Amino acid sequence: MSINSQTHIERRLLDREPSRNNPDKESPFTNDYSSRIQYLNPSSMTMAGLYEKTISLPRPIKPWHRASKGTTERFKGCLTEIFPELKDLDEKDLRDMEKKRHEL
Amino acid sequence: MIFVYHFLSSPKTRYLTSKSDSFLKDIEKGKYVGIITSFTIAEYLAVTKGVLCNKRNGQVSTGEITTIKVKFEQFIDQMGITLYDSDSLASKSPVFSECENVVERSSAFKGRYDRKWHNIRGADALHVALALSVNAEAIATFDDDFRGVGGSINPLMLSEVY
Repeated sequence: MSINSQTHIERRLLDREPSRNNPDKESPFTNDYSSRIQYLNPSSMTMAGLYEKTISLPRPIKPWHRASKGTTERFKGCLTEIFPELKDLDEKDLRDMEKKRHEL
Repeated sequence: MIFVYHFLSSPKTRYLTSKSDSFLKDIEKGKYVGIITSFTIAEYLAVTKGVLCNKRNGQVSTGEITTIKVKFEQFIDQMGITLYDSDSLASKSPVFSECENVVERSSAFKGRYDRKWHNIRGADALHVALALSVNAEAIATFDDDFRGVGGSINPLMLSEVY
C-alpha cells in the first residue's frame, strides 16, 4: 500500500461523523501511529536529532591548542622544587591524600 | 589529583606519579583532548595547601598560594588543556540539579583490594555534572568512587589504563 493511499484512508477515518447507533469499536487513531511516522520528511527527522544534540557552550577561559613539546617533563615535580619540605613525600603520603579526597 | 601527583613527583613517589606522567604525556601527544573547569583548580589548590600545611605544620602564605596557582596555570597553558569557567557552565545548563541525577544513576563498586564499597559523592558528582555539561566522553581519575558513574560518560581509570 502506498503512502498516498494510506493518507486517503486516514483522511476518511478522521472526517467520518461518529455514529451513535454504530459506534466505532476502536478509535481511528489506534493504528495510525506507524503510518504517520512515514509522513515525516526523513531530513526533518535528521534535523530533529541534530537539534537535540546541539548544546551551547560558553567560551572557555583557555581554549584547546596543541601542547608545547616537553611540557609534562618540565613540570614534573615542580612543586617539590619550590617547597623543599615536600621532597619527603612518599607513596604512602600520596595514598593518604587520595583517601582524604574520598572523604569530600 | 593527577596534577597534584605530577607536581609532587619525586624519587620516593613512583606508582601514582608515573601513571599520571604517562597520562599527561598522552595528552601532550594529542591522544586525548584535556578539559578542566575552574572547580578542578579549587580542588588542586585545596589538596596542595592541605599537604603543605601538614608537612610544615604551619600556615601557607597568600604569596605561596599564588605561586602554586601560577604553576598550575602555566602548565595548563603549555599543555593546551581547555579550561572552562564552572560558573559560566552552570549558567548555561542545570549543573547542580544534574548532580542529583549523577548520584541516582551511579552504581556502587566494591573495591578489589580494600573490600570497601565506593560510590559517587557530592564533589565527585559536581565534577561529573560539569564534565557532562561540556559533553566530555570520559573522566580521568584514580578514584574508585567514579567507577560506577552512569550515563553518557565513562570513567578512565588511570590505575588500569597505565
